[in-house]
Amino acid sequence: MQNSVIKHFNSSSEMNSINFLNQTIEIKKKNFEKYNGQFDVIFDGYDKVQLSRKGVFENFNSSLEMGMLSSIAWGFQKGTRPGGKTLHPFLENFDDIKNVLKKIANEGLSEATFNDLNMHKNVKNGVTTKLLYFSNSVVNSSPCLIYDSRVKAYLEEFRPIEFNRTLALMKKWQAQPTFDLYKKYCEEAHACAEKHSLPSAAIEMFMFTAAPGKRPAQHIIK
Amino acid sequence: MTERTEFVTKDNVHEATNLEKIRSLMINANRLGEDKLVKKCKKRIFEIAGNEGETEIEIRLFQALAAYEEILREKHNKAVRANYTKRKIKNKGAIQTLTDWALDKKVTPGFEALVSQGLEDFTGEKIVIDFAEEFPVEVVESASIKLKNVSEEIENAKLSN
Repeated sequence: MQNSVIKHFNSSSEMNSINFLNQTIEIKKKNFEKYNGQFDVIFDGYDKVQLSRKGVFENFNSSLEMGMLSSIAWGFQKGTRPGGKTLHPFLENFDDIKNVLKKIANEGLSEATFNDLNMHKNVKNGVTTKLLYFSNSVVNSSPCLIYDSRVKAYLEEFRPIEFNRTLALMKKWQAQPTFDLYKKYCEEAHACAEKHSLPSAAIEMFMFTAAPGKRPAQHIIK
Repeated sequence: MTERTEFVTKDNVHEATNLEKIRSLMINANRLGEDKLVKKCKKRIFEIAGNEGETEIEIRLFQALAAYEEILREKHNKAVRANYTKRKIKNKGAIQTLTDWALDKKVTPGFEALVSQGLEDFTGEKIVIDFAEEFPVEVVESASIKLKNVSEEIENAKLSN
């Protein structure tokens, strides 16, 4: 019998995934000092801020630049990517990425814009899908979601029935998702969410939190 | 908790910690041709070995090392320790060890054996792919190509059989 992410969700103590908008992380300004003030706008003069998913969405409403910086600070609160790599590749390509996000906001995510967004060296899905999610981007009428190494690990290990078509497109040797895979993942998460009256991001957050072989998530639900 | 129970069975092997008992179950499963259970036992043996690691990536690397030792054990019919690799991890660290493995164009019989048994999660190349953001792009590409090629060869061989 195949696993079900909804059954897993319901049987888990991680039920507060439903409060996904309150998933919050403390971000310290000192972790971002190496970027010559490019992230200062997030801190508004403070040494540290508490940033929730809801806060990042609100920042995207205030401006695209603010939203982009908040998304990345929320996702990489230590000021580095996994393995201690810097966020410079993201910052160096900031304007290009911003222009692609604008296009996606107007036209929806397509294969061409997905590839444009992921074309920069060392700016891959761990970064770009956070931007797609927080900017309220849409792919084929489904909301874009975060798809990072933790979500991928969950899908590969538990192989939930709700994501059968996504799983059929997943290859063990692929480090990054193709457009088709990402689209299917968002569509299946959306369909599953609708069926169970949940926000699709709550399912994504549950998979993120329950990822096997990963350290506990640093974010907390407030 | 499982330590207190007398037997390691197919139902509790995923949480068992007694290597001797897991190995015994695996031998019996192998004798009876229960491939799925053999795979479960192997996975558990490798997972336990990961306890030597501290970071997520080290845990996976030590699991891969245990998998490599298991392949050597099967080949030589006795326990063989991968001491050279352990020294390398100690001296160069997990990232450099995995980088060297991924960039090495040579496909080892151990790598092929693990992929053919559906245990590619315990290869260094798969660890590089799973932690892609921690490695240079060319290292990830090399790991992906190796895993893709070997997976496809194995798949094609299965189809032609």
